Amino acid sequence: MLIEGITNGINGSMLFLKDQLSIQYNRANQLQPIFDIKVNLQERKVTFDPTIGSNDRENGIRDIINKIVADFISLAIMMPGRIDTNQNPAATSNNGDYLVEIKDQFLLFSSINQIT
Amino acid sequence: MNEIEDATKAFIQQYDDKKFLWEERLEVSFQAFLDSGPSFEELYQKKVDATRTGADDEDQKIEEDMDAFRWMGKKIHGDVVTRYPSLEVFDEKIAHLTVVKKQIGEMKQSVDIGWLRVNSLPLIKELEKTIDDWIQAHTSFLLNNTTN
Repeated sequence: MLIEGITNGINGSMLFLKDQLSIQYNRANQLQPIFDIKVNLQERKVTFDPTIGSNDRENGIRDIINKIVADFISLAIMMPGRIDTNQNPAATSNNGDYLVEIKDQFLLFSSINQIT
Repeated sequence: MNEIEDATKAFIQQYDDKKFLWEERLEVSFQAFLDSGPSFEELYQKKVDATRTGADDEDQKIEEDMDAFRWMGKKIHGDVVTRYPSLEVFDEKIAHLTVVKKQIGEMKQSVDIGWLRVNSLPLIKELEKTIDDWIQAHTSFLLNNTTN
């Protein structure tokens, strides 16, 4: 039940982010842009600053979105300790959180795929 | 994310007709433009051909005339072949560059692609500077090489 609740919490955030990152949704709801980037001329190429994709400095738009998604998932380690450690000694290897179980949730796989 | 990546690629494509400004080097492109014009010998040949009357010994006379021109040209220029496009071609090129400059000036400085605001001002400023250099190269060449 706990895992289901955490999964639903994370998935709610993911679905909200998915809507915010939809061009159609943004236009239909007349929302303001979330990011502001520049177009530059560098080394005889037109480039975006920061880049749209990931880059070495990890400040690309995709990097930022990935960090936000990772922050959503980190909700699984916010719980102050597993409640099943006494019955399930193997769970102690998970550092007392639900991260492993949460990362295995198919519901979240689907939402992450839709965002990234 | 794939959606915005495709949209930004399409956004960049709007500058495709001006990509010569960053893909080509001004000096190289300008030299190629000069080389596209006729040489002095070709110009002289054209002038001589225009005076043809159809006389029997005309071909021989013209050939002698051209030999004399080549000999003189070699004395003056050595092996250097100088080529300049005509004033009309220069005029056409400068007019085209001026149109491109106007188009750059009319570009939107900020465009929203859904949730992404794209600020094109740095690119526009760079292009304005580059197009001015191109126009300057063509006009100053005419100023320095044209006599009344």
